[in-house]
Amino acid sequence: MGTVVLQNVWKHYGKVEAVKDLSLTCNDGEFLAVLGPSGCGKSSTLRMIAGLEKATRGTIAIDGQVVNDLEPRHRDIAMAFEAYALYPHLTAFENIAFPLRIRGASSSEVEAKVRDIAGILDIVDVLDRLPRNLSGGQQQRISFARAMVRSARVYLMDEPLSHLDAKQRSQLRSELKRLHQLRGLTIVFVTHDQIEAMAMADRIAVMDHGVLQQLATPKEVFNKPANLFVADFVGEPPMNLLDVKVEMDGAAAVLVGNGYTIRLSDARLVEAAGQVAGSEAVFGMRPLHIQFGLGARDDALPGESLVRAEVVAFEGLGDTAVLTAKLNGSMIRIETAPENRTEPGDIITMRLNPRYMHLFDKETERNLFH
Amino acid sequence: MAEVVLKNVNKKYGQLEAIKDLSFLCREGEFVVMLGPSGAGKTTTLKMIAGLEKVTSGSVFIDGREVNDLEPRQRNVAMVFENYALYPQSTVYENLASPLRAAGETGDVLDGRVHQIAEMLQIDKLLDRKPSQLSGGQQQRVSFGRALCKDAQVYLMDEPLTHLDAKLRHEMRRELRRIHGEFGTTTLYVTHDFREAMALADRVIVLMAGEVHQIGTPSQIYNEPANEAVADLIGEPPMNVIRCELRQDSGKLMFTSMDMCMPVPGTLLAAVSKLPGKGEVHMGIRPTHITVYHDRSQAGIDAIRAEVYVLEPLGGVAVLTVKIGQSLVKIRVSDEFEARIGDSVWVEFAHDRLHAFDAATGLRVG
Repeated sequence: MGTVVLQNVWKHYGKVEAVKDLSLTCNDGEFLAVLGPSGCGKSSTLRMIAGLEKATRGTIAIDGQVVNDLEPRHRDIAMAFEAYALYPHLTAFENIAFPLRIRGASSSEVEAKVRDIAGILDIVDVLDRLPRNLSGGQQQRISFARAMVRSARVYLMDEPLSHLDAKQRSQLRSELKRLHQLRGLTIVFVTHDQIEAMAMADRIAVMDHGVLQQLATPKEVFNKPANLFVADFVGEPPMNLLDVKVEMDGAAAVLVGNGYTIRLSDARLVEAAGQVAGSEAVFGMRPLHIQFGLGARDDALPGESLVRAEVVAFEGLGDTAVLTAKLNGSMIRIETAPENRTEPGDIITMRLNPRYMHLFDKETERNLFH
Repeated sequence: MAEVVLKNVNKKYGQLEAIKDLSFLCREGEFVVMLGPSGAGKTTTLKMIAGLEKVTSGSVFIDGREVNDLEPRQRNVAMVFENYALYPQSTVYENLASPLRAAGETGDVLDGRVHQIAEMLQIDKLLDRKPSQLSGGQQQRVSFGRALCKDAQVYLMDEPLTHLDAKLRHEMRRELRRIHGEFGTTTLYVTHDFREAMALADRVIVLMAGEVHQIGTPSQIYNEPANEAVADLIGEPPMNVIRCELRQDSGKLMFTSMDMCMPVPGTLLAAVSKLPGKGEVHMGIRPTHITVYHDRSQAGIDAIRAEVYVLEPLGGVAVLTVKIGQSLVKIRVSDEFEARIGDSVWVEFAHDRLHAFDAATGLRVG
């Protein structure tokens, strides 16, 4: 069991408000990623759940019990941090066994549990070694195994993969997600890496400047970002964002940009755009969601908007390619297959599907389309 | 502009051989990217060309002239580093002008050149500002501008985009290509990021542990990797490599491993039959060249049964890892794809995208 509930939690460091009125729930058996840039308050949040920091205001409850005043060791949580402090004089096996031994586990139980977690993390062959005889990646796995070996209500992790090279990181990412799903563990995982959050989490809490921006599944965060910050922070290459003015034209809405227009005919979008008629807004579309054809075309499908642009660059990246096109003064990135090669100077027609369009209120930065 | 040639270059630090018998040619006006993991010897190579490190043996030629014994400033190269060293107390204009002054330029010529380069880099409106008033990307551009102001024969760049955020990195990558197009400068660029190499290079030199593994166009490096190590360096996730045995089955040569058996495609037959040893072979396929089905009836006859290991959505796309026998195989799927750990699925490899590697040497044979 492990349900974590934060209610109206604030954290002040002197005058600095690191976490502002944060309310969120990590359900039993859920993998919750807390995602944001450095300084967004994600680590402070985790440290308050762990009991390493006191909440200035608000309540933190684990399984219905308010833990604000409980010492970390009384909260029944396990922690894995970026830096792996292994005991240098103990073998990998004894390092992993440590949390079990201090809790008085029998030697047969220790043996079984250590072997089990070592098998999952692929470190069975190095259990006899001392830390100094292990690679950085192996040490990280040992540290991970030590955090995961005992059962706890909640597992808290602060960027535990950040010191690994790309390959080890993606490997351990897969293993951690499996471990979570197979065992039904409750995990709160802090990261600045959106790929990590997307890949592993059931839900993502996106934070910026101490404020929760969105709490949703990875797909929702990607496809229906709540506001401009989330749209911009998540996705690689990042979402195309264009400054436009919203004008109404009968049953259509027209987004007037710098020397180009995007005509919206989809009824739902026209209505939503109407909320900011006559005002400035930001139009957004992800590079992956823009279809295009070569040459000038006028064969729009119902709801679709066609916009012409000139190819500036085409970068083949192996599995994918990134096309950059010029829309008068603005640049648009399109992610496509390497086979769809175009040359600088080519005219393309972008086919914008209403399903993938975003329009952000310039003032509130809220996503009006989702 | 000039060509750069390295001939049998070795570099030792005490017992450690950092660079082993390195030879390559960077043509006049070419954009060559040196790609490799950390510790490959990329920066060392760049420094030997710049004259910041001495070669232990072998020769470095710039524009046909051996430069082994020349001082850095006599080599006429410009270097751009990861961290852009600008004069903090000077304006952008002065930062750009100082290398020109050092080269003896004055008056209108100097002024004209500064403005020309500032325009090219789209920093002409920032000339009065100090570095502290610039964004990271703008500082990066000023740093490039300084290098360009040197009017060098060769530009050397060491991971110049590493510390930029994703958006700026994309912008600067495109910008770099554009600048190269306009100036036609001979450029040697070092990175550990395969995307940068693919996007920027006319040709890529793959360097690992001080040795060249392959020199080729981005397309050659991706489609015809010289060996397993190169295949493993390109792509996110990189190429899957599955240990197999070759077996004859009713007259057909088959790739077989635990729980897998599929015919060797015609295109690979000749190369695979010549392999020495007991018929061991490593089969390679990229994650994007595998199709996965929930239902056997949708899949072709050569489809292989696999067990879902984990599914990771990455925004728009997802990576599905499946287990085939003892091998974990990664597949790029749409983020609409759904599966649970332990599900049975059917996977189909694109036959024309299969590679075969010699199990003993790792060399690609087809």
